[in-house]
Amino acid sequence: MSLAELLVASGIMLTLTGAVGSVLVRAQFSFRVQPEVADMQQRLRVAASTFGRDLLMAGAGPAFTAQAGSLVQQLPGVAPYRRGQIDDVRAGVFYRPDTVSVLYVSTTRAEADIERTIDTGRELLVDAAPNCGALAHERVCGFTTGMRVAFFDARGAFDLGTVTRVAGNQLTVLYGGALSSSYNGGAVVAEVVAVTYYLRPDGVSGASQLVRYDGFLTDRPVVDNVVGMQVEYFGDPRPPRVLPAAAPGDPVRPITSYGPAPPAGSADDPRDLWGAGENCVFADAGGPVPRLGALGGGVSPVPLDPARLRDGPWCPDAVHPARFDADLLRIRRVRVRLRVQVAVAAMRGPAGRLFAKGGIATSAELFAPDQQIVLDVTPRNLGGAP
Amino acid sequence: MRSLGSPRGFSLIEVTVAAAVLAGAVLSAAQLFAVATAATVDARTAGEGTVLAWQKLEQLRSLAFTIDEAGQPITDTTTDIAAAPERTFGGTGLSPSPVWALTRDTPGYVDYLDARGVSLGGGVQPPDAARYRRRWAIEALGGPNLLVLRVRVVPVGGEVEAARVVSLRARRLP
Repeated sequence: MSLAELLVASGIMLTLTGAVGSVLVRAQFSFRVQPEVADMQQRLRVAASTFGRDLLMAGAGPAFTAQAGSLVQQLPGVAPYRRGQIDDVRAGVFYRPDTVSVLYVSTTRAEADIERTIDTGRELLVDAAPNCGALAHERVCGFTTGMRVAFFDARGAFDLGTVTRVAGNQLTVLYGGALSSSYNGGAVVAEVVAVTYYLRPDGVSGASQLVRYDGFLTDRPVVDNVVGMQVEYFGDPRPPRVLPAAAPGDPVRPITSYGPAPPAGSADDPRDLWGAGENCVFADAGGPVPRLGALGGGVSPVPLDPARLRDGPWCPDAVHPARFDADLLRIRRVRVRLRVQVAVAAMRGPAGRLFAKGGIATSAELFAPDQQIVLDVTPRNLGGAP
Repeated sequence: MRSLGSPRGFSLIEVTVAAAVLAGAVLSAAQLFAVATAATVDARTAGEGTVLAWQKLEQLRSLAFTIDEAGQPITDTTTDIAAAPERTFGGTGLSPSPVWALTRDTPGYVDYLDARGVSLGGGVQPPDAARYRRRWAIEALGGPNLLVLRVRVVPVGGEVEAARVVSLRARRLP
C-alpha cells in the first residue's frame, strides 16, 4: 500500500470511528436519560391513580341509615386542608393550595344510626341501632376492631375515631384529642375513608413528597421528587335550595340541593349559635333563605376563589371546633396539577421553565425536564354527576 | 483477498469495503437505539393522551345535566370548555356535536394542549406550541336523558390517536 493509500485509508477509518463514537455517546446519553423519564411518567401515573380513586369516591354517604345519601347534605366530601387526628382546622388553618382532604363512607355494612353515647373523655361508648336485619336484631354488623369510623349529624358536626371494641349493639370508639360535638339520636356512625394528600418537604432530595395521610397516625409517601402541586376547586354556582317533598312514587330525594336542611317549623337548634329556623346555609325570613349567593348566572360548576373557601358562613357555627366554610359544600370538581422532577441532579439543568429546581447537568443531551400532569375529577357523589 | 499474513497489506478498495461493512453494522445498531427511544416516546404519548382524554371527560361529566325542582330538564349548552380558562358562556356545553367532531377540528369540540398538558384553548388551527389536539363528541342515546361522551386525543402533526375514551352520562334527579 502506498503512502497515499495509507493516508486515505486512515482518513476513512478516522471518520468512521468518529461517527461510531458520536452514535455511541448519543446512545449512552439516551440510555441514561430514558429510564429516568420513564420513572417520572410512572410516578405521575401512580399519583393520578391514587388521587383519582379517592377523589372519585369523595362525598359518598351511608346507604342504610336514616341519613342515607350523599355527604353533601351534611359535610364537605372535599376540603382544602388537612383533616383527621392531626387537624388544620383546630390550628386555625382553613386553606392550603397544595393540600386536599377526601372523606367518604366505605361501601361496607359498617354504618348505623346512633341511639345514645357516653363520653368517657377518651373513648365514646356508642349504643347503635341494630343494622343486621331481622335475624340478629340485638347487635350491629360490619364493625370490627381497628376500623376507622366517623360520627356525624345532620348539622355538619363531625369527628373521627377508631373502633376498639364491638359487643352486641355497643361500639367503643377511641378518639384523639377532644370531640368537637356530642352525638346522640339522629347522628350516624359509619366506616369511612378520611385521607389527606399534601406535599411534605424531603430533606434528601430537596424537593417534596406527595404524602397520603390516613386521618389517624400514618403519613405514607406516594410519590417522591414532587416540585409542585396545586389544587383548584370548581363549585355549584347556584345557592342551596330546599327541595319540595317527593310525590308518592318518586325516587327518594335529598331535602336540600346541598347543605344541612334548616330546622323544621322554625324551631331552634340549641346546639348552635344560629337563630330559630336557621343554620349555616339557610336564614329564616318567613321561610328558608340561602346564605350563599349565586356565582354568576350559569348552572355548571365555576372556579371557586380560594378566599371564598375560608370566609364563612361556618358550619355548624362559627365557634364549633371542627367548623368548615359552607362554600365547601358547593365543590363539584377538583383539578390537581402535579409536577415531578427527575431524581438525578445530573439530569437537571438550570432552574427555569424546564426545571423548577436546578441541577448540575452541563449537557442539554442529558436534560430530563420536569413533567406535569393536570388531573380533573368530578366526584360522583357530590351532586354534579350521576 | 489476501491473508492477514500477506506482506503487501490491504488495498484501498478492501479497506473501503471493510469500512462500509462496519458502518452498516453500526448503523443497524444505532437503529435499535432509535427504536427503543421511539417506543419510550410512544408509551409517553399514550400515557399522556389517556390522562388528557379522561380530564376532558371529567369536565364534560361536571356540566349540568339534571332535572330541576319543577321537573324540567336542565342541560348546559353554553359553557365553553374548549376555552382556556373555561367560560360559562359562548361554548357548546353538552350540545350534540356534528358527526365529524372526532375526525375534524370543530370549534366548540376541540382544544389544543402543550407538552405539559396545559390547555391552549380551542379554534380551528392548533397554535405553534400545541403538542396534542383533543376532540370530543356528544351524542344523545335513545332520547334526551342519556348521552354518549367520546374523547379522542391525537398528537399534532399526525392522525394516529394517542388515546380514546368513551362514557355514558344519564340525566340526574335534583
